Amino acid sequence: MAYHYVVTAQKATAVTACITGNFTSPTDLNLLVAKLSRLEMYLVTPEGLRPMKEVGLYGKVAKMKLFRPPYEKKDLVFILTARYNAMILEWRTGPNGDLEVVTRAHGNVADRIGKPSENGILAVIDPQARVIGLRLYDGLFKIIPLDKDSTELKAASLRLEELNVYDLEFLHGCANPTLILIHQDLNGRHIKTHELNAKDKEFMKIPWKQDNVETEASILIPVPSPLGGAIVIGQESIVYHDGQSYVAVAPSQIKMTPINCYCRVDGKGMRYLLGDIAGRLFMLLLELQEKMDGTQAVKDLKVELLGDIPIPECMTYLDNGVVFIGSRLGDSALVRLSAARDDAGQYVQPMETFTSLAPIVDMCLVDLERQGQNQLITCSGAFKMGSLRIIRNGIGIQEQASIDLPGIKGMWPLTLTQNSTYHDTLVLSFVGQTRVLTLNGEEVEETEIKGFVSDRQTFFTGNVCHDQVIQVTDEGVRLVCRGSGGWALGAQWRLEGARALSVVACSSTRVVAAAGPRIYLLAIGQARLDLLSEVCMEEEVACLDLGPGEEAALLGVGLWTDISVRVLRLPDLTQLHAEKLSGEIIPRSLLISELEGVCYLLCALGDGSMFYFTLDRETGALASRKRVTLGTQPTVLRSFRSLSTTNIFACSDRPTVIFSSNHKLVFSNVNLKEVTHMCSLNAQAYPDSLALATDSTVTIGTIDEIQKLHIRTVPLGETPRRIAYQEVSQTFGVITMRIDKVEWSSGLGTAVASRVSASTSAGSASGAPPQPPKHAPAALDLETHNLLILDQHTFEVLHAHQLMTSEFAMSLVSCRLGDDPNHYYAVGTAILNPEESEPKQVRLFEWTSDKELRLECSHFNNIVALYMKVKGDFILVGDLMRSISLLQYKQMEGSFEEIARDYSPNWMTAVEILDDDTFLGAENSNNLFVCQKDSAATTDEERQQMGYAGQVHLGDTVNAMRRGALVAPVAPLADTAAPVHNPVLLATVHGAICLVVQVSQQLFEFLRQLEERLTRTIKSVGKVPHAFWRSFNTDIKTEPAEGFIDGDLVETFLDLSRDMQQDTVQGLQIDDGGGMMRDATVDDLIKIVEDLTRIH
Amino acid sequence: MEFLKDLPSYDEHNFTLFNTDSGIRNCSKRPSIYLPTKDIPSDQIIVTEKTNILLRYLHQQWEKKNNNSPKKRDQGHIEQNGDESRPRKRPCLNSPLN
Repeated sequence: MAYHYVVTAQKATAVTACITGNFTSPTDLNLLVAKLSRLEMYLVTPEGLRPMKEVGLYGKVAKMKLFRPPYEKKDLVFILTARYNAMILEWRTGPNGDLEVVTRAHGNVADRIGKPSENGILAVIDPQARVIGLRLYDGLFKIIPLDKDSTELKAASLRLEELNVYDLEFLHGCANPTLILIHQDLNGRHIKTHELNAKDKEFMKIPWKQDNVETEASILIPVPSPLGGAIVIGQESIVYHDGQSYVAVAPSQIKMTPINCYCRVDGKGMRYLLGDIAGRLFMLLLELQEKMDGTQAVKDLKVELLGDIPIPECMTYLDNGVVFIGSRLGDSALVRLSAARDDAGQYVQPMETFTSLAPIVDMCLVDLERQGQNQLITCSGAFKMGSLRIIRNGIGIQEQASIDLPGIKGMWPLTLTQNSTYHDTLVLSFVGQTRVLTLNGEEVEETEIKGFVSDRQTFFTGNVCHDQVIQVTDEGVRLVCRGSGGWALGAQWRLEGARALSVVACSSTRVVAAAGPRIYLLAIGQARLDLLSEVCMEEEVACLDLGPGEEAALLGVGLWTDISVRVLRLPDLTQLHAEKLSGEIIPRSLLISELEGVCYLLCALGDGSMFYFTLDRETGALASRKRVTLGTQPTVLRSFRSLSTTNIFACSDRPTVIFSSNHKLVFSNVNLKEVTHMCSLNAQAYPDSLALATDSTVTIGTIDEIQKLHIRTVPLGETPRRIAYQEVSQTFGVITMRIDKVEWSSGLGTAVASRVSASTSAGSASGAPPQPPKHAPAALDLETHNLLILDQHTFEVLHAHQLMTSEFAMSLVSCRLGDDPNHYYAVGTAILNPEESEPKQVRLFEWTSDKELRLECSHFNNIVALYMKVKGDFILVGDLMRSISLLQYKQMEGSFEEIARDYSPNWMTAVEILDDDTFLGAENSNNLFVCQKDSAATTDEERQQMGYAGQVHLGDTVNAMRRGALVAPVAPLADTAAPVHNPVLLATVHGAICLVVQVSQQLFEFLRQLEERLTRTIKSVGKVPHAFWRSFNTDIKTEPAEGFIDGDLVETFLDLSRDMQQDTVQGLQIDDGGGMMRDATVDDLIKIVEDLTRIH
Repeated sequence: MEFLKDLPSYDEHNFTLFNTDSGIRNCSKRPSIYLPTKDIPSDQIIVTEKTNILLRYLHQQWEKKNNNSPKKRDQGHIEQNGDESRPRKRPCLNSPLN
């Protein structure tokens, strides 16, 4: 058996729906965005959008609609999932001030029979909130009457005589809920209205209809009262109709590309925004005239092109001319409409972008910086929004300046200018000397501070109270004060005896220094230093640090010989807590830091490992002991502030930034090879920066925002299809597709690039010249495929090779061929030709000595072989509709042998080999499954059948799978509580990146129990059971999930309150390591789950 | 442009302090995750009527007929029992084929 854990490393980013409303309070203006199975609530503020809450649903949002019943002061949301779970949600502020989501109503509206509509689910709500209407199955219209007083909302199906419905809406201002719809029959498309009797659950009459509207009419926009009626959007025309009057226009601007979404701008319904599939924004305006009876009627429709936006999926007007554009094909955006054109001639200006990886079509995993840390490069987006995205785990340092200075032993920033908030000086300490650098703008000069000793190594320096500077060296403490004649020594405390000071910690009013086993506490006064107390520890002091709290602060001390950590309390240095660390490696660096309101004590040892505890500020007790391995060298811990949060930097041969996220510590790699010392630096020319020392250099740089996955975008301006990496040439090969316009003149067509993109602006170009297209009817556009060669560092397009007209690139690989020492990019292409057979076969070619490809062998038994993965002699094939099969290449015979096959009818979207016997597949209904071959089976027949070892519903379509992970394989987890194997990364249509790993049976069983408990602890929004969500579901079967742990659910354990964690753990048994079972504690679980979060 | 003037405003302060001096911003703030642990029962349950559409239609028709002429059926009964001797169902005259 095989056991797997699946978890989302990057959540889906494609926006599938968005609405503006008053959700969180009657006065708040909110934006609600749906991204696959999550809802994000934002608040509109003067500064822009403020994120409020993210809500996960157990289902993919198919439709999201807002409505407000007459008795409500806020808007409610109706959501229908792809598996027909309906819910009505309300956002409200709970008793403790937190936002909570209340499921007001829920239920499944699926029917046992019925043909799901090919045009997808349609959901509409009556403007007066009397009834919800759903078109789920052809020929049926389901209504949910919104009856306030009943505990049951009785949904009922009505017969809808129009079978092929493209869009439907409720009309405004009707006595009874009245439906308008676009439907198609043999004669074309028509609009029709139906008056509904919600009580009797029947259609009463057809108030009006209009036959033969435009053939491509696809969108209905209901117009609010008093006008009423509806606008019909077609490919070439826009029509307003209200039963009596009919106004039609055919604006030339909209002919080129179909309009696919709209939003209403003003409440009266005079203005609408329209977006088309090329990413252009239009405004539609209704012009009115007064009729004889004094009422208003529509006179004309005006359409204006406003400018370019991301290719929209949905959009919504927020406030004061700002519109949110949601996209599935790239970054979503916030744009502002302005009455005057900008320099580029546009009425629409981008304000903010929301990064999206969707859709990920292909990806490759490479270790570019050779630090054992993988980067994922994805082919993301489409058309003008096509891009490569570079995704890496960790934190980047952007270098601003560097100075060659070897042998640094310590660094501190100082502010010497009076009343300045910026650092202007950097003090560097070396063995036997101290140097002072002044930061003068971007220039750095060496200087001296009067009263400072420069012929000794400084252990600490910093600004302290009363506008003074402190310097601690081996001989004692010096206090430098600002006088009339500049800086001068104000006070000095010299250490008596033979032992010199070796470690020190300092706050703005207190200094603690240690010499051998003795610890001295000094108070810093105005030009005076007073010894407050001293204690002698049992062993020599190796490291120490002061916690927050000044006079009564806690002091953490790490000792030699007994390898322990002690917590003392100022001012009399009484010992509150002692904690032995295991092993024989001495502590080297100790840090007390408060992150997200939790006080931590961290202690790094000489071998690169680190212990950390939570520190009780009242009692000084250490708790929740944990250990991680950060590097292999002695580690120095420093805290720093970045973007107003405190973080910790662990300097070692594998520098790590430690930060707190959702009240748990997260360890993130840094893109530097080695750091020996560091300090924060907030200088005028280098604000919010870090100074980092290596063996030979000091670098000043800014740190990337604290985040786990970092995404960099390389815009291409055309659709990327495939990517491959070639190490020898240090390049990436990328297959792209661009759409050229065809201009016809005197019967001859010429393809013209529609805009500047990666392939048209390459450094050099080759390939087939664009040929005149041979399409019989004059085609307007033409797909042109290119192979681009990009530099691996700069991502500059070095070369573009254009393929022939009607030649489509399908696959790409970097390889060597036979004995030829050259490396090649091999491109598999298809030539669009009706006579060409489909790829039913798997073929192997040999590169002969004559530089020819010779067919070695073929395998037939596929409908359409779409995907292929190779490991050794084994070839895994994913078929269009015949699941997966395993072939073996027999070198001696020069043939393929089919070893095993899964006989289920799965329509595959991606395949991968997990290990020699285990194979992962993703299929069309958003499920994952694992198959195993059984080599030990007794009969041939059994051996040829692959057995199921796991299945789960992922909820997103997987496009690509690659072996490997984003976290270094030799992860810094010496004693991980959750060992995992054979990681595979999955990339999806909605821009999510997931990870599948194998776990041991023991860990699996344990996590299964935890998962089961969490389904009870965590209440599902919309009341969809977790088991329903994860069950393997296709058109033909639904089976419970098995063999997979839902990592997304398991990892929420860390976000629960301690009490809830305790409740969840109750009664859970864990192996104590020796085969004995005992009750698991919250800390056992935190340790295991935290280790699981570190694999992605 | 005329029709881009007087765009609707809910709160005139919204987006006034939005800073675009440093170019297009990239939104990196993420909303915190809502983790419901409190069981709030939902007020209403959506249930699907199980009755077949045709059956419901027939029931409705029947009820309508009933409501419109409540006594007709009774009269019918009398008529049937009285004058009308012919049974409503006709016997099947075709003999089985085999």
